[in-house]
Amino acid sequence: MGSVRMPAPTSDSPAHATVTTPLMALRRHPLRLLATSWPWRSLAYVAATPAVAATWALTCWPLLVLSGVPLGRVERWRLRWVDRRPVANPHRHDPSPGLPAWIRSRAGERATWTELLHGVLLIPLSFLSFAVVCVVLLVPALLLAGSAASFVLLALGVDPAAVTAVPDLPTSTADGGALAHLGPAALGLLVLALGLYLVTLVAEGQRYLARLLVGEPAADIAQRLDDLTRSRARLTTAFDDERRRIERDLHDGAQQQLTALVMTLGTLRYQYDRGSDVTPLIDQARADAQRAIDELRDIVHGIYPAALREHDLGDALDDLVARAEAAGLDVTAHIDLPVDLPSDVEVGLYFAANELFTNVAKHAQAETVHLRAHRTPDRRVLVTVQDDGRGGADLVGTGLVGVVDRIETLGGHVHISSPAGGPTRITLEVPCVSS
Amino acid sequence: MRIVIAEDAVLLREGLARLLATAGHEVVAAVGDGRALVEAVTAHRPDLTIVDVRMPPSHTDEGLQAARALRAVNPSERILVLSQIVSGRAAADLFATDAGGIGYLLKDRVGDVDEFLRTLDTIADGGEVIDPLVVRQLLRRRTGLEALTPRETEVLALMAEGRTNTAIADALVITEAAVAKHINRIFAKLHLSADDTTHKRVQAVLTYLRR
Repeated sequence: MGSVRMPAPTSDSPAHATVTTPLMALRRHPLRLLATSWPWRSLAYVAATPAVAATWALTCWPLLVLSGVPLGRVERWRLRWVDRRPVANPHRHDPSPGLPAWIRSRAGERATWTELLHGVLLIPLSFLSFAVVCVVLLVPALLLAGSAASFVLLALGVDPAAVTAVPDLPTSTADGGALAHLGPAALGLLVLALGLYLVTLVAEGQRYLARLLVGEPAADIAQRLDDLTRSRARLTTAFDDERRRIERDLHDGAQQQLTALVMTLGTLRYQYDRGSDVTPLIDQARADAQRAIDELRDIVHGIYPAALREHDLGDALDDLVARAEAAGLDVTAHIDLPVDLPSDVEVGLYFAANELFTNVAKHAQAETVHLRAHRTPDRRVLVTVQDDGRGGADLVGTGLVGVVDRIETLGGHVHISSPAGGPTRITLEVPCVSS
Repeated sequence: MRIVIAEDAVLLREGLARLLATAGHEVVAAVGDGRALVEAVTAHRPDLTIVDVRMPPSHTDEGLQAARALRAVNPSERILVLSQIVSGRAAADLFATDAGGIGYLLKDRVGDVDEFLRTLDTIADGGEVIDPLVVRQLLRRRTGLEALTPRETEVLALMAEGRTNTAIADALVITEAAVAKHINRIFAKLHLSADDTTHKRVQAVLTYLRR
């Protein structure tokens, strides 16, 4: 879940809060605004808008409804100039490999359409931006240049009013002293200063619009935070349940078997001291010990599969397939995984796949199961378990919630397709780089 | 003697029954939960009851509850409680009355059959037996024992287990007179009142340890 971030504090009322937007900067230091970097960053932001809009309109239209997607990327990147809070990517992580699937999934997303809307709105906005930047930069530039020219002409002994090249200078009266020629310069600086306030406000408006249309909506973030909190609580409970299960397995199983062994050995010794035949008790003791070993092997396997400790995920999944076959399922498997996956990814995928197989055996009434595990070129590991059972799998009452939690902890996703009547197809997807 | 066993793990129940039969005892009933135990004891009036702490339905301390219930009806009911874990508090609870005839042992002590059979006799005779590990746990938790020398602490632990002066002398390889001297000093230091009978002494020590 790499795209989810904690929301930064949004209130701008506390005096100690960090300034994150142009408007906050303006409210915090109305008079000292020009001494901060905000007006200049706002200027860069507003000035870049026409260029971005024009480039987008000229190059991205062949993408049709998806044309907003690259724009969204650029706009989110550019948003950092005028918004110091993190901007989350509103798109879901690609669920399935391949271009057609990517197009289908993107076209179904709300964010794709709001990004397109943003592009359409950006075109008229870019005219406004252009006009504002022109006024704010060109007018002061002309005034300052005129002032400078007057001084140059005065220094050369020429009456500036007689020079047709600069007929419009407002203070170019013949009787004006040298000081009068400072007027345009002062006016230019004043226009520049006021213009920077204007630019800051325009940038704020554009920033607000961009965050609304190309950022992740606050409601979505809140929803995902809520999901995360719940999933964390479920994981904690799952850990406790797991420990309790292991404790019970050990107490009811191995510990009892070993105590029985001790008891048998005690009886054996007692009989032996009295000269009785102890052969049956020796056999009994060996059977007790063997039972304890079997019991322990099963428990240990449930805690951490030996196949994973000694081999890699591919081998461990092979082991899983062999167990499912031994349990009477007809399993086909295509496993093509690198051997150097991070161990958390291996363990998570193994236990999730294990749970999927358990579900197939318990609920699906399936005869055949297909397992496919591979890594995509863009470094995502996909494990798909498909059965020919009765379908209708949902998150309630099965181990699927645990599977989803486990996979999402790794930043991955679980894709479930299980129409009533089957087949059920569940894909575990985990992003990963080699360890 | 006639014995009732309450143990839910079939393997252990059978092992225990076989062991007791080997030693010449008669197992009159072997049950798997607390309710059945109370019924069996009421029906058979055994000389001794052996009960596992953790049994169905809740798998927590049904055995202890059944033992307490039996002792409430008949304070001189002879009971040996077997536990998989060391619990000083559960043990101290059992020894709260001075009726005697009670024991608390870890399950694997059964492996030392001779010692185990002696324990059964001790309890049937009205004595008290407590597992050395439980005593050690109580000693660890109890502050105020710093006044005792290491040797006196050893003697105290053995007293808590219900050993006689002779047994303590044997265990520590010292004379009985030396044991008596240690015990007098311990009682003086801990302000306990001396008592001749062994099980009263266990009581006094346990009372002190859980205070």
